[in-house]
Order: sequence, then structure tokens, then C-alpha cells
Amino acid sequence: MAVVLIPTALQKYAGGKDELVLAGATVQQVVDNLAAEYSALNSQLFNDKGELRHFINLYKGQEDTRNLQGLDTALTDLDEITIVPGIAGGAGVPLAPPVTVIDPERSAAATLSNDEILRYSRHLILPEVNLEGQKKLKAAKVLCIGAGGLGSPLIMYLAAAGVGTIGIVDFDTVDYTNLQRQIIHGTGDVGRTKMQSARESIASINPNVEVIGYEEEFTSANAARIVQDFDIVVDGTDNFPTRYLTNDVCVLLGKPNVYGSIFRFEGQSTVFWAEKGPCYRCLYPEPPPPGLVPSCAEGGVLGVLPGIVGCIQANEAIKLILGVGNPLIGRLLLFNALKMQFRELRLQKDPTCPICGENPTITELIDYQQFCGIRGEEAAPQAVDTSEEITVVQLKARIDAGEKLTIIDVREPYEFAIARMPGTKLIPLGQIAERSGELDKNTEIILHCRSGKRSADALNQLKAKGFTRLKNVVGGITAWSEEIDPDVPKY
Amino acid sequence: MIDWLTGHGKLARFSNYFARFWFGSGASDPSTGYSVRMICLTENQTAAIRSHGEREFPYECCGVILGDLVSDLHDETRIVRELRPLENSQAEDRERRYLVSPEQMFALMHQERDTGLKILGFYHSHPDHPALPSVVDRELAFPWYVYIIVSVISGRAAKMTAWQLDEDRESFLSEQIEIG
Repeated sequence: MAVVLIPTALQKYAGGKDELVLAGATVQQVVDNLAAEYSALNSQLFNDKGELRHFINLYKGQEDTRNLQGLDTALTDLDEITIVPGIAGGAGVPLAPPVTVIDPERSAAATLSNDEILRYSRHLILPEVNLEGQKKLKAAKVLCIGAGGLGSPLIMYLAAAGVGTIGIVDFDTVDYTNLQRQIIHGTGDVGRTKMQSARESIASINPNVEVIGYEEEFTSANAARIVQDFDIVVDGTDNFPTRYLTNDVCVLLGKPNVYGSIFRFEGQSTVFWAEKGPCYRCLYPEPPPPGLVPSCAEGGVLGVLPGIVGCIQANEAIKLILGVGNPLIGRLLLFNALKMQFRELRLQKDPTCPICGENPTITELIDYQQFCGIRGEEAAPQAVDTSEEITVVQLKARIDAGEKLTIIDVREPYEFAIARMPGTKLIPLGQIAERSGELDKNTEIILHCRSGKRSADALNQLKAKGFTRLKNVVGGITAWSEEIDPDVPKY
Repeated sequence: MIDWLTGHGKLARFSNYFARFWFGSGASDPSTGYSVRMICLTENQTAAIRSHGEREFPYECCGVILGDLVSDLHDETRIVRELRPLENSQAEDRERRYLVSPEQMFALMHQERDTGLKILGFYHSHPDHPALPSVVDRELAFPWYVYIIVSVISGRAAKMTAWQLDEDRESFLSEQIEIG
């Protein structure tokens, strides 16, 4: 039997007691009983092999058991065992230093009104936030590139959390097809600018937030000027040139870039911060060939997916501001919404990266459209001669005149199921090259798709195969619906 | 529908494009800490730590933080009553290491019982090093204790910080030092 004296540091693992009475004829037996009865102590007392940590000393009475028989030291009734923690340490390489994104002077100077203290009370009672953290949020300036699918939940949660200044870069207008996922905008906002709509949503959620709007295209000409005043940039864009631009300007200005992307049912997120880890170019040194990666309009997207990824981005931005938790620096989070799986891949900084590596070759912003091989803002229609075009009005006239026409629809089967033009045959764009044999080179072939872009691509493919009598329907089935037959649904 | 999924050769190429990653080991998650995130010291107390650090320079100084614990349902407040310098019992390498010998610690623990003043934590200095916990500090630390570190650069005390070891021993949570 022994009375075991527990040091203050370990009392919470011993039921809050500073003294325990335990059975045992030797020190080892008492220790075993202690471990059995208070298993919470184990991780503090024992190493991975189950041995007593070398900086835990056990005293029997006034004597260190190392000077006696160690753990085999025999005990008589009511001997006193003191667990003496070794107190040691020293200078050396610091542990991963705390991530400070917000200037401490700025956050100390932030003030919260009583109203705000009530508003954020559920934050203030968290040890990881508390008043100090809420002031950091208030002092923080976060730039959101894009107020669309990713930007919507991101901006809303940053506003709710009390981020003092939210910058938004978006010059787009709310479109009806946005509402399936861009929840910062509502039905009544269709036709208004996304900036107007976002400002109102933010004001409704949290009037304490200052919104700085940039209703302009984010380009090499203005990127540095816009980004320099912010602490964190969150990338919610939908095209590759802007992603590379955002990355480069953040690397050059030393800002963290919270990245998120979506494709159909899958999402990705990470934090690029060149000082502490890889950048976007370390991961993707080259953009994909233009036209390879479909946009949401072309590939489709499950509406809630950008909601999830945008919230993850908001979470990361908030963690960077507060300096808590493990940010996704050097970690790529992969999410599959259908399988409901999260995976993570470790990312390494590339020492040969042209912008953040050891010998950077890129020292200023470049022409990103050219870098991504795109001539216009979005994949512009391939150049098609006006002699190779036919308007829907002209087409309708020829159909009404009783002409027998070969009209090929190059959309996908599911689009064909949604809406089709009369008398058309479906050959999806991806199959045009292999199935060109089904078409007669001597007949005039009229091609259409949804908007005229894909059919222009198909036209050029067939021209390359020696077809000469080709016509592209300008504006596609969308134009047909608008100008000829409104009963044909637009989608 | 099958045509849409398989006939679209572009999708397969796109997935391959996105599969070019570097692989490595996984990351770890910290657990949450305690609710005590602030320690209050008087001006005299911080001055005492500073001057102890300066006296012992270029060696690390160490001392114990004694006081009271006031607990209620949600929280535990520590009130610092006394800062007592201790001997750095390291046999060698005292410029970069400190050790409170088991004998000193044993004596302190028994005094705790006699006086009622509890051991709340320890302070030590980092000569010519930043006031940030090191790997060694983490390996040898205990949760719950407050660790105060004062940086002493070329004999002059500089920044002072306070830390608590996370419950899963992975990281230190920083604490505010309130002077009052």
C-alpha cells in the first residue's frame, strides 16, 4: 500500500486528486495499479513502449528510487511515493512558429461594441477565439476573388464571423442559372450586378462589415494595387488565367492564397503561401490546354458542392486570421461529394518553381491569357468565316421552303433529351472526328450546338477532313428558342 | 447517358492532368486546449523574471511560478503569488538547457502541501534565442503547467511569452501575459 502524491500538472488526469491510496508491494505494482485505475495518466507517464518516461522520477519517502532498487523497490504499509516530474527544457530551433497574418498592433487597436460582443458571443466563449481572436477578425482584411459559386458561401460566412473588411472582385451580373448554387444572390437579384447583390446580403447578415468592391476585371494591370491592402486572398475564380494571376500576385506580395476549386462532384482546397509552403505553380506548373477543362456551364456542377468547398475556404481564412489549428498549407484536401470521402495529399514546395523556387525567373505579372493559350476572355469561338454561318432565321426559312437539310446536333445526349431542334441528327462533338464517315461530303451539312461554340469547333474538325459544304448555326439552339420557337426550353 | 460518360475522352485526360501531385505523409490534428489562456503578472513579477534572466546570462535561468487556483464550473483561474528562482542543475550546456533537479522539485512539491501555494508552472530564459518554445521544450513539457519564456539577447531581457502544452503533446498554445 502506498500514498501516491500527484503533481499539480497531472491532477486532472487523476480525478482531480493530489493524493491517491493504491495497493502494491513494490513501486512497480503501485504504478501498474495507478495506470489501470487512471488510464488518462498513461500518455503523460509512459512512452510508446509502456516504459516510465525518463523525466518522471519516483520518490519513496525522501529517497529517489533510482538510488534504491528502482521500480522493484519494496514498499511497506503507507509508504509515501511522490511522482516528481522532471522540469527541463531549453533554447533551440523553435517549434513551427505561430502563423501571424494580422498585424498584432492593428488587432490590438480594434474595438468591439457591446452589440458586437453580443453578436459574437458564441465565438468569444471558445478558447481558440475569445476576445483577442474576435479583434483579429475585426482587424482582418480578406479579398475574395469572385462572388459566384465558391464566393457565395465564403463571403457570407466571413461576414457572419465578423471579418472587418471584405474586398470583392466581381464584375459579373446575376444570371438565372447562377441561383442553383450562388446562394448569396436571390431570384430578385437576376439582372443586377453581383456586387450590388453581394453588398446587400452582407449588410443583412452583418452591417459591421466594410465591403470594398472592385467591379472590374482582375488583370495584371490592377492585381497588385488591389491585393496589397489585404491580409489574405481567397481564390473563388472560375478560370485558369485568373488562378495563375492570383497565385503570382500573392507570391510576389507575400500574401496567403486560400484556394478552392470544383469540378462536377469533386472539390479541392489548400492554402498556398510561398513563404511557408508550395504555391499554385508548384502544383500545376502549366495550365491545361484551352478547352480541356469544361466550365460549370459546359460540365455541370452539383450546386451544393461549391457551397461545401467555399465554406472550407472560409474556415481556412478564419484559422489563418486567428492563428489556430492547422491550416492547409502544404496539404491538398480532396473531397468527393458522391462517395462522401475526404482525402488529403501532402504537397511539397518545388525548389525549381519559376516564381517561388530558389531561382525564380518570374519576377512580375505576365499576360495570363497568353500563358493559358486563350485569345479571348473565355474560350472564344474558333474563327469561322461568315460564309460558313447560317442564322436561325435563315435556317427556319429554308426548312419552311421544304428543303431537305442535313442538320447535325453536336451536343451531348442528355442535352438532346432536354431540348432539340426539328429534323436533327445527334453526333456529340467528341465523336465528330470518328463518325465523319457517316456524313456525305457532297451534301451541305449544317451544324449546331447550344450557343454556337462547339458547332464551330465541329465545323473546323470536318473541314480538316476535307468537307467543304459546311454551315454553323449562329447562336445555336439558344438562338432558335429566342427567335424562332420559345417553346423550346433554354437551359 | 453512357455516351456522355465514356465518349467524352476529354474527361479522362482532365483527370490525369489533375492527378500530378507530390505524395508524402499525412498531417496531424491538434486537440483543443484548456480554457485558461491568460496569465496575470504584476510589473514587479515580470521585472523579476527579466532580471533573473539577465543575471544568469549567458546561461539559462529557471524558476517556479507559485500561486493559487480558483476554480468554478467552467474555468480555472491562476493567481500568481510568488516567483522563485531555482538553480539550473544542468551539469553542462547550461547556455541552451535548463533542468530543475528532482531534489528541488521534490522539495517544492512537499512545500506545496505545507504552504498551500501551488506550483502553477515554470519560467526559463532563452539566451540569444527567441522566446518561442523549442522542440526540446515540447518533449520535456507537461500539460497544464504554464511555461514562461523570456528571451535574453546579449545580456538584455527582451520579449516574454507564456505557453501551455496541448493535451496531446503536439503543440504549445500561446497565452496572453496580462500585466496588472
